[in-house]
Amino acid sequence: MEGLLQEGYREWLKGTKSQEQRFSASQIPLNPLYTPLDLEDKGFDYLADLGLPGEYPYTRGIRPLMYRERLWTMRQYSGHGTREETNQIFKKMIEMGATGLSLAFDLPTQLGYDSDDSRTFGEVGVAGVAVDSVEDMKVIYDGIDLSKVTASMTINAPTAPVLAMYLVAAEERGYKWESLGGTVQNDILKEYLSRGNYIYPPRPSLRLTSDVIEFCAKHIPRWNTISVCGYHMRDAGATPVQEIAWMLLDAIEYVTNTVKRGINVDEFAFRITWLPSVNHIKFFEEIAKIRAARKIWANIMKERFGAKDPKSWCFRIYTRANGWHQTNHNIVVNVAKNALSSLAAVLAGAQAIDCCTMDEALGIPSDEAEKVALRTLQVIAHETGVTDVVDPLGGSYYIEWLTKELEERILEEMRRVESEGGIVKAIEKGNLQAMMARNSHEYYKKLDRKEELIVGLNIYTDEEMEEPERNLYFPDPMEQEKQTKKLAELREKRDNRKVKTTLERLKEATMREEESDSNLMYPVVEAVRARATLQEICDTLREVFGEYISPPGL
Amino acid sequence: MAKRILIAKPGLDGHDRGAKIVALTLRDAGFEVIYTGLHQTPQQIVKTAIQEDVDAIGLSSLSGSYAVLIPKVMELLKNEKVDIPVIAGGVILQKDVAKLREAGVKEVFGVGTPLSKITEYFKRLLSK
Repeated sequence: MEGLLQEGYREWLKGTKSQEQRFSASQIPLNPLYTPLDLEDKGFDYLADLGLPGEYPYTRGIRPLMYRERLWTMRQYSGHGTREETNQIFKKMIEMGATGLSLAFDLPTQLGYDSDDSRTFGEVGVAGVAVDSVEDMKVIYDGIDLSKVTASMTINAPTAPVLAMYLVAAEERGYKWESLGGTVQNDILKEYLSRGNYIYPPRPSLRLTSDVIEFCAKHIPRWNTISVCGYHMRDAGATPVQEIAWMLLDAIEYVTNTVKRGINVDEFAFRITWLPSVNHIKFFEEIAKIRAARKIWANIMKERFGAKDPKSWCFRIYTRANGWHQTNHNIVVNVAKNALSSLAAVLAGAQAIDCCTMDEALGIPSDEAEKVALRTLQVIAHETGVTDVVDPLGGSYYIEWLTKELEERILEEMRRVESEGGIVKAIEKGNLQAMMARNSHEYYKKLDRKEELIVGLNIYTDEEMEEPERNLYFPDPMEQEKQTKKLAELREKRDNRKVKTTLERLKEATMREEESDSNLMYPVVEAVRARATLQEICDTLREVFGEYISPPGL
Repeated sequence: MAKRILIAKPGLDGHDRGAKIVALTLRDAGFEVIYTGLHQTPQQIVKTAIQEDVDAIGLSSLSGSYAVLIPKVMELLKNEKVDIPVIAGGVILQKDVAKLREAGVKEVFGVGTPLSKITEYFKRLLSK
């Protein structure tokens, strides 16, 4: 049988010689067909490479029964406006049955500026809500039972003060920290690589990251302390191989720094979550990359870090598609694209999926578009039957070959970066940023030459269609004024001597060496209790750590 | 001598994929390109433009704040009495294009503009 197959396959391949060579998004050359022979060439071994779902190395999924046991969480990312509006939206969502509240912050907050700083001109309350002090946090979550919801916050560089504000807001309403649940993104390395919201240089920022991880492990056991992102790097131009390799390297850096403090890896590793992208573009490669990532991470945790608790080995993911292939004229076309990318995420075994909205190329989603996106996920969940069988693509010659191929290439890229001094050094040099920029440039040149096709962008563009009328959320100059006034009142009312003392204590702690007894979360919480503002806290850290100027990365 | 173009990111927005693609494209086309990096205030952008004696400024924004930041750059340029053509790019709604032109912006390239179109535009603009 084997011999016949070999002969037959080689003959068959010969017959396809005239075919053009095709490539995956990571530039992997693809055959027109895969057979058991290709798996044999790769040394594919069912038990070692796949095993059973819910068991090491988790290639087929992190739960034994996957979606039969529990559907993926349907999460939608949205929200903007004032604190009061956000509070109203949250209450409405709870009424509709939501248990997770996702909070988006405006850019000044994400960069550690108060609303009255001149650099925040035109940005206050635009990309999310402005949080200057614990008082803002109290308004946002007013009247919401914090022991019943989980608070998810897209916050990175100023994670420590923002988390402290949530904790202090909760404790002043009588909640014990142990009863609180939520997530902070807290993934600073990808900010340097792609998202751009960094404040301090990488090394002191990593200290803050571990401070948050350590503090939460001790005091807020239900908190997810980090969401490691590949998403933004893929959006910036990383290939699937680079995306997974670099996000894994980022996580290794966080784990290494935290373990170095003498904290057992099993005390915090199970609180790491992941945000890779999953797109409809090169559909099967996206699915295979997630399967490969699960396997590699399980191995890293078990073998490299010696984690004993199987929960520490699991690569839990929340995912969504990237934005670059969304169109902005005939936006209904995006419904099809987003349905396919969500299907890919399900086939990849995601724990939480956010289906992109058809209008997100234009701005913050409309309610109607949000609803269509949610319905898309519900169609996949309840009509297609993809939830009936775990890892339904497992065993496909192509998928298994591609998973192995991607695993090899991801490991190779990780070795390359590590051999050149590691991920932090690469970030400081700007090499990876430049690689992403060059990838994007090459990709766009291909789009120009129509060697890559995006419906709505370079074919079937429907240019005659007008851009849909939209009520985009625009910077309301009054919002900045209002926040500025509130800040002035706060500074008037609070005990300024106490604020000064707590900030001095924070500064002293910051100047001490990074040790397990100089965790900056404690003095940050004290400063927040005294009503120090976000920028006052961040400026105190800026004085010691300095501000980071990134290499251009071109 | 090669014409000099400044590509700048006004405001706190961190999306610079588009800015970098345009920078690399214009560099390939023979221009000398200076990229400011992220988080530039309108004041910093105007200062860099004057110091570097550039022939054109490209402003890239993917955040709603362009509606106030780009007119601010135009105002500062006017105050400095320098006449450097300004081109905007990124996620810019059609209804705002007229507003930006009114403020003095020469051209607006939305997302998805073919690179060749941008190159040709700058070649024409700076050949005069």
